[in-house]
Amino acid sequence: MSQLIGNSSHTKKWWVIPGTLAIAFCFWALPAGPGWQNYAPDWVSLILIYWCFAIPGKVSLGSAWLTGLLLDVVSFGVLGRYALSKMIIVFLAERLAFRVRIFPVWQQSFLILGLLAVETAMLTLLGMTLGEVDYSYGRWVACAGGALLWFPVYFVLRRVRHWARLP
Amino acid sequence: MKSKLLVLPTRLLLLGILSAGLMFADSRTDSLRQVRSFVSVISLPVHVVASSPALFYRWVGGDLEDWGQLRRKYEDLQHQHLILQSRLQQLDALQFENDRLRDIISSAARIPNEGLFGRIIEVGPDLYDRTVLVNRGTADGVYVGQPVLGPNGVIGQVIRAGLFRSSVMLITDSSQGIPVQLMRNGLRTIVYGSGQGDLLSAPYLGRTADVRKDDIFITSGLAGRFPAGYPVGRVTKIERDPNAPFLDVLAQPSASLGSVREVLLIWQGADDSRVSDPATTSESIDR
Repeated sequence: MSQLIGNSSHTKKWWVIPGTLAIAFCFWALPAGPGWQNYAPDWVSLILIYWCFAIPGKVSLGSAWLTGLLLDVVSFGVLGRYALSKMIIVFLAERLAFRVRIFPVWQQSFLILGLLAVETAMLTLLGMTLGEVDYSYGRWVACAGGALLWFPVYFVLRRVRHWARLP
Repeated sequence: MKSKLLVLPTRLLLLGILSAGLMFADSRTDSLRQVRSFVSVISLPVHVVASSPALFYRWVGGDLEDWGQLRRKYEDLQHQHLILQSRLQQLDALQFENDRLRDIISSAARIPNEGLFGRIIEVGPDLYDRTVLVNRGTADGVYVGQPVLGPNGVIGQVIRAGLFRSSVMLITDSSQGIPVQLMRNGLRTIVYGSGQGDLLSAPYLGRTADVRKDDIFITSGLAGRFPAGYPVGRVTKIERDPNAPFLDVLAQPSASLGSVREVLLIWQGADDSRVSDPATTSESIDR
């Protein structure tokens, strides 16, 4: 009977959003191997941006901020750094969300590149202010890697979203 | 919908200010330290999940060796063990002689350092490439500033201590300096991370300093942070610029920072900060 009624809310699995984020954390924490450390893409950003595009308005600034704070804790870094950067990119992604829906995936990945570049620039600036002097170029490579990864992330999460019957 | 868009910027600003406040509080003051070390327990499941692929890979691929290889490895280890044991015997004799000599010049005897074994946890992209995570925390008595050694030399010091995990800043980080001396002639200086690759730099050696290529830096124990006598690096390049007051000295770290997995966290014996130098007994350095 509930199938006939359509999108009634108790068939929607909203928990996939935090679920995919939790998996993103684990992917984020995966060691990339010696020497490859800095080239690892920021999975948490990618997944946050996907959900912003897919269900605009669902990911609030506050939850993006909390996710970033959690990432700060997990990464053992200065508290507040990722919180700020995740919140900013979610803010930008929400602004772009409606326009992006009509773009094909490969054009979207350029936007992803832009968003990731903004985040990396912000983190670098914060790093310089906080006095962490070492600067490595790998993070920018990680941006490009993240943009390339948008393809599989988009398609996989779209399947997940359909399975969870989210709008 | 319009009103929601208007609300966003204020929330953005508020959270932005909160983030800035947190960053300031965390990096400049100590107020958040307790909170951090408790909250960091949340990261344990993430670390466990994240390090499992590496463990699995090593279990399947790397550590499955055939009997022949294992036996050869075992024999090699036995040989090394014998050599090390004989050197240890010599070490005991030398320590005894050292204590007697210190007695003669009225310097306090050395109390040996206590060490705790730890393992480097392979986790995550490390934004600045100069810190590693160790699987010991305040629950084991680890404190911020504690020196960490590897099998071949000094690795770094603890900069953040969570309940079960600690973050260690490597000696190659350019904001960290270690007081060292040259093993050959006792020349004392400070070594910093150079910011170039995995090298160290000793920026305060004067133009006429007696330093040569392949000289070894060992910790001098001054400033009390690091116990004396542990290898830090080996000089690889010396540039003498006639216009500069200091030499440009680069050194390769003794510890193989890229491949180290087992580390030792050290609690210092009480009198280790005194550098025993007969010419300067009058200026014993108090911690």
